[in-house]
Amino acid sequence: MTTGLRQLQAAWATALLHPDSATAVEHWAAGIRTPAAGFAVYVNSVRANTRNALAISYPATRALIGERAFAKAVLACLQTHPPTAGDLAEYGAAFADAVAATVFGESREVAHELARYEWVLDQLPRRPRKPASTLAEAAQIPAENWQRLRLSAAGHCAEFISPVPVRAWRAYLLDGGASRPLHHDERCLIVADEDAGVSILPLGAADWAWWSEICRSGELTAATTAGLALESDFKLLTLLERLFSVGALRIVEW
Amino acid sequence: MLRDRAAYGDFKHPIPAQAGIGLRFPHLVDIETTKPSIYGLEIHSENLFSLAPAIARRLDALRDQYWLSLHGVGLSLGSADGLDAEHLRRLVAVVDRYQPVMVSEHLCWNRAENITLPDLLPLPLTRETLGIVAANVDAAQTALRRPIAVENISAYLQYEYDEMDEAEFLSQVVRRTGCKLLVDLNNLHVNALNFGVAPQRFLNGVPAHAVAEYHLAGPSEVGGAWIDTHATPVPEPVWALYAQAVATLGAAPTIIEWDQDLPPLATLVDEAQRAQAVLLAYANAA
Repeated sequence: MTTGLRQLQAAWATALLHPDSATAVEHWAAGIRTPAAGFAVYVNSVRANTRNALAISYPATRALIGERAFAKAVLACLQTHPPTAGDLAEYGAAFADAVAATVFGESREVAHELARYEWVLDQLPRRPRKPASTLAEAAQIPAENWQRLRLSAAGHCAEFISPVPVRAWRAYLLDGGASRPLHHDERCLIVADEDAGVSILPLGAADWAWWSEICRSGELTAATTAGLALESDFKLLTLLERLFSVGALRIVEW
Repeated sequence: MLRDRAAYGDFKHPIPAQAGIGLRFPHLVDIETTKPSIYGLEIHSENLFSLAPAIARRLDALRDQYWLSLHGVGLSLGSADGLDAEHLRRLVAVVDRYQPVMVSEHLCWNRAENITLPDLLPLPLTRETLGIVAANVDAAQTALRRPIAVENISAYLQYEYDEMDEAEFLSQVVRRTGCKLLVDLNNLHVNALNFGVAPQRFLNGVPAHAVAEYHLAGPSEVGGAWIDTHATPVPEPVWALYAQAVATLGAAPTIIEWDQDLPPLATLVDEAQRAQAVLLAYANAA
């Protein structure tokens, strides 16, 4: 392949992402008839398509900061982290950083963290899904074998730590009503299930230590030791019941 | 470069000339419950790349009643850097999974230097570009093990150094790769409005045997330019062009596209039924 078309396409990319750069646009416009009118169409189209895609992933952030700030953040995201793949549904991991850099005023403190939270929720169903085990299956395991029990995360799971208070947008809690606020530094496990929808399980410090150890080693005994080290009254059975009920655990071996 | 059709196995043109609509997910429930009287559904390929299994099962159920075709916007057939291997791998996966009756892409580019620009960007119609597009189409067809249909696009500027017109360019791509053509009548209409390009010249210039599908949609006028927004009903000039196309190139499966300001499903169904009437009239006359 020769370089002429490659150079032209590189010039297009630079000009469309940075239309305020006179040098970039001048370079791009060589050999194009009536470039000004057509250029505006493409600049607007690239921005609108990106904005529409991110609006699907970040509805709450958009509602919180308003259209003008949202558009400004979209443009910052597009210019600093342009899409690299053809599926825009998976574009936007850096949007929270763009929000942090561009949004000011009352909502600034929470907006970028809300965006991080929305990104986790949005992308969760796209992760590979491992089949989950049930509590009934766990109950079949003879007591003497529980020390050898190994577990792993299942379903579509993602850990999330809320650095600021945010409300659980677009989600519900199996053990806490339709929605509840997540408090400062509260840790939770987000689980997406085809049938049950998205569940959010707030995890206390001991629960979080237990879950982290399961993700690391898979060993029930080691995980329980980690939980008990933080809370002497750590309630393993309660935690297992919660996690199995939302399809977050898989029995690996026993 | 000329590829024998036998190289793609036993793939044959699988569906008669019938009309359908572009499936947009806000209409999914309505389609499931009302089972509209249309023949086919077309989905953007990229929408299936990471589709939730529950939605995929619902699509499977619809395939009992409607044929399904895939229409891509992101393969970038005109990219000088070649095809994105990961994008092609995912496209192959969804084609294997859903077994669409047709797979189409646009005669455009949107990827350069590992940046993907979310738009259908125009190519200079030169011999250099022809070689690149033909190589990319060939690579796509080899990976997919079937011919793809390549669609003419609407453009909002023209290159001074074009060496051929769009019809000649596409004819050469067909000759070199054995690909099919998807003729979008609204794109011809938009280019005619913006640049005075004669649609009939295009219809007379492309090989009829390669035409596998038609698209119909409505444009919008923005700031004095006509834009292919897919946000309005199919206008009468596009219906007239469609009738000319069918008369000139023959009948082919036809899809009504609507992407912005989505109307009720019934509006799209009405337009698909009008397209079906054009196809039936052609068949009866023949």
